[in-house]
Amino acid sequence: MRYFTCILFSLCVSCSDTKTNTVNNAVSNSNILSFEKSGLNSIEGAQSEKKINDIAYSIKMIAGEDIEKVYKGKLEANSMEYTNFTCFIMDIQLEDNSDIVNYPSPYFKTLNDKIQYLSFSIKDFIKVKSGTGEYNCINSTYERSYGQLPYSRFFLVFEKLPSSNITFTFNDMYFNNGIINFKI
Amino acid sequence: MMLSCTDDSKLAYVDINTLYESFEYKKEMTQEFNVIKTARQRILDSLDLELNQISKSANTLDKNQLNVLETKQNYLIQITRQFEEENSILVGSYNERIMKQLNAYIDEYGKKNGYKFIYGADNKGSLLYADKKLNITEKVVEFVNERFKGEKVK
Repeated sequence: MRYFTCILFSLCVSCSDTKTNTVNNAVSNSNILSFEKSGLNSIEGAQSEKKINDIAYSIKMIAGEDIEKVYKGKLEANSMEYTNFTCFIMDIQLEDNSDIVNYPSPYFKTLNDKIQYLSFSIKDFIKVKSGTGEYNCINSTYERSYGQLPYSRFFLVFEKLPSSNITFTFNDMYFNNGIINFKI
Repeated sequence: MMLSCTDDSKLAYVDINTLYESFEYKKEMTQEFNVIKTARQRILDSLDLELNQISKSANTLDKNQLNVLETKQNYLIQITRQFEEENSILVGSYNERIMKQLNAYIDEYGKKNGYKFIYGADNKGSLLYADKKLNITEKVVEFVNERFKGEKVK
């Protein structure tokens, strides 16, 4: 029994090591953004990127019907529920590929404050201008990767936008980079 | 030797003050800061006015009323200091945001146009002489403002 447990433990460790190495190797070739690494490039959708000092931001608008492709059938809820909304994926990546939770944020000092902001409050700092209207983010999901991925991903939902002329605005308090605009 | 080095290098300079003052984000932040500063100043002014009115009739006040006056005066001093400190922290934080974005966009401009050096002229002696033809301030201002608005690098 002890022998079996040892083998099982070794297998688990080697599996997770292999996974981490694969991810790290996959990202080491590119020094900026995460879409290529995360496979999002294969999904159609307008995107915009910016790098402010050591922090790279990638924004991609995802059509409701493509959400299933992004999450590869792993969604618990039916992805078709998003067809009446406009969805974005925002990836944030540090230059050294470390977890953003470990970044010394000037405003969010404790781990709890950081997670609270990234999980819940961040949507209050994101809006989109489309046509003549301004739309607030109605739902955000922070996909925490615990350092296993080089980027942190946010799935953002807005009501259906009327125009294709879209400016995505993120007021980044976490890294104190302020208002960052992206034309999508 | 020197001549061949400069021939191969693409050099330019920008007027830092003009660039900073013309940056749209700086203008937005200044506006935002002025709103906060004015709101705080209004609070101080109304407190000051109230104290002035009470002080005018200080001779007729009893001991309790004088204590209240003193407490309010102390509060005014304390809140004035607090607002000054908070304003100073806010200016620092806003400047940090402006400079981070400005630096990032200048970096992009330099890389995009193949510059080896972009010098910053601040009229304080960091750049003693440069040919006016190498002044790219206007182009950089246009680029950083376009990037701030979210335009993609063309």
